[in-house]
Amino acid sequence: MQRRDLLRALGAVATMPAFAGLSAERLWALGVAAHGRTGALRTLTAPEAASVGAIADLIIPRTDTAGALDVGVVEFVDLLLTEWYTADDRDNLLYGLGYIDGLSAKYGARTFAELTSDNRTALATTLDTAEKPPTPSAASTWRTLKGLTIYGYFTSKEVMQDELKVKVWPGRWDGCVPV
Amino acid sequence: MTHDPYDAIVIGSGITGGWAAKELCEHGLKTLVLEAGRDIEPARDYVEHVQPWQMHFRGWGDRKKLEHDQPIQKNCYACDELGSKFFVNDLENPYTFDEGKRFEWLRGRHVGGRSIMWGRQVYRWSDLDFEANARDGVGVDWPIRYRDIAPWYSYVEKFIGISGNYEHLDQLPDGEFLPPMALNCVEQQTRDRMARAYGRKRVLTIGRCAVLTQAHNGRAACHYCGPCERGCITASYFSSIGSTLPAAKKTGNLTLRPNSVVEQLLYDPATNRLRGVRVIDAESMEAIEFEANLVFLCASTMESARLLLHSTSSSFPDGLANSSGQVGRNLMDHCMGGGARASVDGFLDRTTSGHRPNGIYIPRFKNATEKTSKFLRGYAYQGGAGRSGWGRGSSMPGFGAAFKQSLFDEGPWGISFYGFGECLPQEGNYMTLDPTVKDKWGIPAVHVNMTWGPNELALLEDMQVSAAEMLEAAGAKDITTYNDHSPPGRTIHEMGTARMGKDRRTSVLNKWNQAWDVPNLFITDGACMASTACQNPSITYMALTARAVDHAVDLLDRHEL
Repeated sequence: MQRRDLLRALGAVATMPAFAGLSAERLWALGVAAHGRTGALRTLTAPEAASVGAIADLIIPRTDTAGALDVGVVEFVDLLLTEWYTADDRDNLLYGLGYIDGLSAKYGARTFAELTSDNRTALATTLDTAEKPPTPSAASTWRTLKGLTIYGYFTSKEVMQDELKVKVWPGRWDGCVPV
Repeated sequence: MTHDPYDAIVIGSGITGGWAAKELCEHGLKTLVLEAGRDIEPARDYVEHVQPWQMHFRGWGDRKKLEHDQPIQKNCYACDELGSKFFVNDLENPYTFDEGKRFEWLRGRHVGGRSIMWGRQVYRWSDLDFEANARDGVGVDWPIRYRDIAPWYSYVEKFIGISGNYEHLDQLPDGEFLPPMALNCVEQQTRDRMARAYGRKRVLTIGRCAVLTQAHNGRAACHYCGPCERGCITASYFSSIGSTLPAAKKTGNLTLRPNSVVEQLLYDPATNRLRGVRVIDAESMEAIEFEANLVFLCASTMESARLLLHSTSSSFPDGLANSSGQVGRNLMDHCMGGGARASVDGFLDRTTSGHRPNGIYIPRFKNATEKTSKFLRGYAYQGGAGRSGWGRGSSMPGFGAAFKQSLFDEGPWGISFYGFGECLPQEGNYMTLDPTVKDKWGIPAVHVNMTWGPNELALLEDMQVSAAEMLEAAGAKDITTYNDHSPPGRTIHEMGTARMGKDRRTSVLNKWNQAWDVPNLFITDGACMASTACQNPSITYMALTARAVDHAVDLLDRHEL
């Protein structure tokens, strides 16, 4: 990453005169500390990214095939939140994510990411079976993240090429073949 | 600035402009094709093989940019992350409509026009359609019948290549077919069960489409990649870029000029002929005049009428060739989107392979094989059956390893019948020039005034009922009806703003697509249509264009132009 891009990404903190002499690496570390952001993400804070990652991993875990985390679903969610969502939709999703973290307190954790595996499943089951949840709410964010996880996973290069084995040029059409 | 005269000028390079160019050039006429938009280079611009993971938004498009630049165009399914480049910028190409009378004008401005993104469905009309206005006393009678156009249907079909199944139906004449694409398992079962329930009254057949199922006229057979609307590097579906324009070019008589926005048709009262056209270069904004003895106006239904209305003179104060007052009137579009969907049991050990760029077709039966007094005319269905994929996961309960694995398998079969209905010509549905709004090139914008009438609304209701009946007869389950409530325009079959007729007092064009008022002006795009039938219209425009050129060349030979 170029220093100029770095400065833009980090915003006001990194442009304070006091930090003018820092190396790029130290500037980056400073930015992460100041904003709670990890390197590649632009909207999700580190704790939010951890919860989104834990949710995505629960929906599509790694098995004998790649899981959601292996194919960059968190980055895909961050991209949409940054460039595609309206401000209202983005805020609703993040508020809802906060509710999910809040519900984790019932199980003795501060965030969804800090839940034990069993407790993640227990909380997710209540969210997954909620009917017509209001927005924003924990269940509506769960539902949105579930859709984004599935879409981001199945449209990733790894899954389309290696698992679905999508043929770009099928060359023929058959209307009725054995599965 | 003026140029050496041409024998003929064609305005527009889409489905009809390409056909006019091919026919004129092959008759030996030095022909200038003026296209308002940019040039298209298939090797550079076609993007049908780009995969979701290669797109920034994985195919969802740049939502904020689309909402800003293409708030109307984005309503077309083909105006997506990659296909949006084949649709106009709505800010540069404004048009207006009254509050509460939404009309969607979906269009491209580039060489090839909408022949790049079109739906490729091709259905002949029959005399049920050509006689309809006379029978019902609606609009004006068509000046032609099926026998007049049938040889021209054959002529264009043989050149462009149509795949389809021979069905021997009176209301939907067969064409010159290449081998049909196969129905899938569930569609075949539905066809068979409908045959038992309805005989030949309601028939499910494979769509007739301008996609090659075998090599044809130097173009390759379809390789079933799927997204035709993003272009086709093997020219396996008909587009003017892939078929008619190359044929025109081969003659050595074609000059194709992109970025040429025709601003006015230039009328000479001394000869009662057009002497040429005035163009604004889309890039330099320079005004240029071109002269020719013959003009084919193929700019699309609404662009052609707009140009006529803007080409005023002391002889034609209300717009060129508009002594009838009919230019811009009787705007029509197929009413679409009533139908039903259902699930189908069984066939879980069967699937499909490849992406068929085509669906099923159920030809019109209401007021064709079955009389009804509830409405005039009728409707046909397009649609198809298929198994759901991983996309169903977001509305399925569950998560985790088993859930994930289930999404690698296909879901159950579903089927949908989606209706396309005839639209009646009505005086009250019209377009004019907006008194104040202009486009990027300073040309007055179109103002549209169109709503569905009671007949179209009745068709949309009945489409749902009949679709559910047929699905039930075919043994489908969980049948639900739907109505898209599509506004006029969204079907992208706009027609009728310079209609053909038998009487110059009530129509703009004669039976040869020749302007009653200006003999060396021919209009062969959708503007010429006196009614819409319910079939997709492009093949009829193509046949009328080839027929009109043949007649125009005859007149030239006899020095009657």
